[in-house]
Amino acid sequence: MQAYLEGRMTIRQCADMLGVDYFEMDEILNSENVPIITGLDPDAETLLPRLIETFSDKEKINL
Amino acid sequence: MVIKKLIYRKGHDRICKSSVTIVPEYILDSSFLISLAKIKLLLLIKQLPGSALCPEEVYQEVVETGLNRGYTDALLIAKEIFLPEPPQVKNVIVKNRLRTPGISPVDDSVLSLVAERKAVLLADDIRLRKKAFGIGLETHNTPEFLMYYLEYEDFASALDGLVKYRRLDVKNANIYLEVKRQWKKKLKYVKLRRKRCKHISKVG
Repeated sequence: MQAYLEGRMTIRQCADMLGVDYFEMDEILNSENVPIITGLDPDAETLLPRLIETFSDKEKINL
Repeated sequence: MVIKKLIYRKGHDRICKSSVTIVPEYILDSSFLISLAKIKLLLLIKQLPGSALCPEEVYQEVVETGLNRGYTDALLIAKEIFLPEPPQVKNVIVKNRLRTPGISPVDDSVLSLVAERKAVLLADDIRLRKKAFGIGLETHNTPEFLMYYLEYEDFASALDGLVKYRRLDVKNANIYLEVKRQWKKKLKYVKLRRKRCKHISKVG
C-alpha cells in the first residue's frame, strides 16, 4: 500500500504481486484507505493554461 | 495527434488559405475510468474535443476480466463507454513498445500508446503519471479533467463523490477546489474588465 502511495509501484504492479485483478487491487487499496488520486503536481502553477490547451476545442493555426 | 490540412477557398476569387487543425487524442487508463464510474460521470468523456482511445490490454482488463468477475464499475464502463455504437472509447493495438522500466507490461502499453500518438494521458495511478511526466508526456488526472468541464458547484460535488469513495482525501479535494475557486474568480474579473472596456469604448 505504501509503495503505491509513494509512487514506487503502479496499481497493476501491486495486483500482479498479490495475484489479483485490477478491480480487486483497486478495492484492496480502497479498503485500506489508500487514495488512488494524489494532490496537485509540483507544476501546479502551469495547470490552468495546460488544462485550457489540453481540453479546449480544436485549435486552428492559420498559415 | 492527427493533423488535418484544410484548404479554404474564398468565393470565386481563387484565394486559398490553408489551415492546420490539430485534433488531440486522449488515452484513458483504467484508473481514470474507474474514478469516473464511481461518481457516475463517465458520460463527460463525450466532451473531449478529440478521440478517446485505450490499449487493447486496458479494454481486456476493464471489460472482459471486469465483466467476467461481475464488478459493478466494469458493467457501468462497458455499458456507457464500450458497448454503444460507435463506442466512446476505441480500443487499439499498440505497435511500438517503449519498454519502460519499473512498470508492468500493461502500464507500458498505456505509455507507449500515448507516446506513439502524441496524445494526452488521462490517468489517476500515481506511478504511471510520474513515469509519464518523466518522459515528457502530457497527463491529467480525474480532478483536473473535472475542473475543466464542470462549473464550481458541480465540481465541488464531484470531489465530494471522490472523497466518499475514498479515491481522494479531503485535504487534496480542498486544494483542487481552491484552485477552481481562484480560476472562477479570475474569469469573473476578466469578464468584468472586458465589459468595462466595451463600455468605455462606446462612451468614448
